[in-house]
Amino acid sequence: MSKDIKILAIETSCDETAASVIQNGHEILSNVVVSQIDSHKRFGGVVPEVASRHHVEAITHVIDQALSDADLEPADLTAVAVTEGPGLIGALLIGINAAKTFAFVHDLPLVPVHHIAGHIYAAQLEKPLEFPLIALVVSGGHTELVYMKDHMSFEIIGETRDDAVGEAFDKVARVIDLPYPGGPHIDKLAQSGEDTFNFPRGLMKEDTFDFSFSGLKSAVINKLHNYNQKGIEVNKNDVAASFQASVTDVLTAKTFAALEKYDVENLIIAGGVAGNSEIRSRFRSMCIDKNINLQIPELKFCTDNAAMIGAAAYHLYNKDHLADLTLNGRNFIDIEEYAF
Amino acid sequence: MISLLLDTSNQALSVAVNRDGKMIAEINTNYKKTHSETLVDNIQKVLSIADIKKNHIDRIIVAKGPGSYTGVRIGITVAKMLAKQLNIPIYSVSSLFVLAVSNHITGNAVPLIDARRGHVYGAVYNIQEDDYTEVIAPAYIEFSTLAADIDEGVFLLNSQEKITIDIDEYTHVTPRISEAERYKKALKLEDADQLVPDYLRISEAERNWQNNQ
Repeated sequence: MSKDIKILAIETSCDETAASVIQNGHEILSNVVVSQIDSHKRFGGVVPEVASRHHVEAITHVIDQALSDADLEPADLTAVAVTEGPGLIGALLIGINAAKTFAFVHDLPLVPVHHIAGHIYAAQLEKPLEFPLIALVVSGGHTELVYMKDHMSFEIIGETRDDAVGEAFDKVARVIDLPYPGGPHIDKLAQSGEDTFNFPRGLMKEDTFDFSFSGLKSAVINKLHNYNQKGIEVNKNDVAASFQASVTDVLTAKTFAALEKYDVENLIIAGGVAGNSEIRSRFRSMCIDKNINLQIPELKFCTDNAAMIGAAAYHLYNKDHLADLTLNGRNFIDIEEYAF
Repeated sequence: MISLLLDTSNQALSVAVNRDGKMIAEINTNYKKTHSETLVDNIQKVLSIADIKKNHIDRIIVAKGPGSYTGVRIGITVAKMLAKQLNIPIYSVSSLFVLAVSNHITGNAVPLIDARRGHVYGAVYNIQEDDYTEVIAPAYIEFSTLAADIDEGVFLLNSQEKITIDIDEYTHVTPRISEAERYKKALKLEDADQLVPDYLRISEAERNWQNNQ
């Protein structure tokens, strides 16, 4: 009997149906992600009911594939992990009920995982986390600065007061006629643009680690409206570059202030927006200057996936944080509740 | 032949274990606790009451809708997973048919699920002791339209759910999934991977999108 801990992880909190087998919290034995993005594009955003329907279609295939890619039988597994929340409730319930059924049939322990803890632990797939650390979580649904003094210890020291940063990317993309999801398109345009508009930097002058992106979004919309009325042709590349520069300035300023105040040398950037090239490169060069140990997971582990859930579940399993068969999904869970 | 049967299509939950088509244990609830929380736990309980080990189950029978989108999805997800992980066949049955046979009515049964805005999910079955004919197939339809088409029959509705349609006389019903198995032709063999709920409606977002094309 091997002592290796092999966890089947399932993630269905938004628009990816994902399953993965992770050994000892960091070895990726399989990682299957079925994205629904092509279906949601026509709506300009993720439609919860449509997402739930796609999860039901894909769930058994994805789990089968994760096991066969890992070349494992259910009997070889140590536990089953699943995203408990936060996320779209109807979407979460598919993964949770699939995980509960799998755990029931094969008599395996069930590990509920916080989605944001998963995003942070994506970094562990590359190398072990070093503490204390600060994690900047940036995605379509989240913008948070999380302080961790040890494994599974979370303190939110800053968060968005309005739009998540990824949401701002999508909304700005829409007003300059870029397809959903907007992030990668803005990133691309920005590469041949310049920060000529000098859009506002939200909450920069205030003594807080919180974020605000709705003012920035409105400023972009107003500027475009204004140009439109005057019949001035707008340079979309410059709009994208100016918007992205504002976002990056705010994210870096808040994050480095937090690193200094909490006297922390380890930084993780996680979530889908961590795929943005300017955010990545600016943080990289600033971290070199300031001697900060930076980890940004590779792109496929920044967007939603189940490998990150398996990475976080390893620690929860070791701390005996298990659920019974009445586990339910929750669309909101305070990550501080998940401190063990 | 041991069958595990489940129906979570609406507020009521019904899980049962049948041996050779006859019920040996059944759990029925009709309250607001979510199926997501209770279904797998109740499956474990009903098997324990019936004293049946999970690897002795020969087949799964699941109510595939129509009904609450979320409720139907939970039943289908759990049923698909059970069939795959136990490596046994899976059969589906209409949730309306389950309602039609749950009260031991013979003659025309008209099971209804309130779908709001004057609409129902409804069907008409002529039920005999061990056989039936489908008079009107399950549909999402305006209640007044359906009612006008029916000369004779008993309307069946769960009185513990919110009723918004204009209906005077009906018989209270909750699903008893154990009753469905003896009507063999109502059971449809499915591919577990391919099985999806019978929503009878596309989502509102898709409807709006189609209308704008």
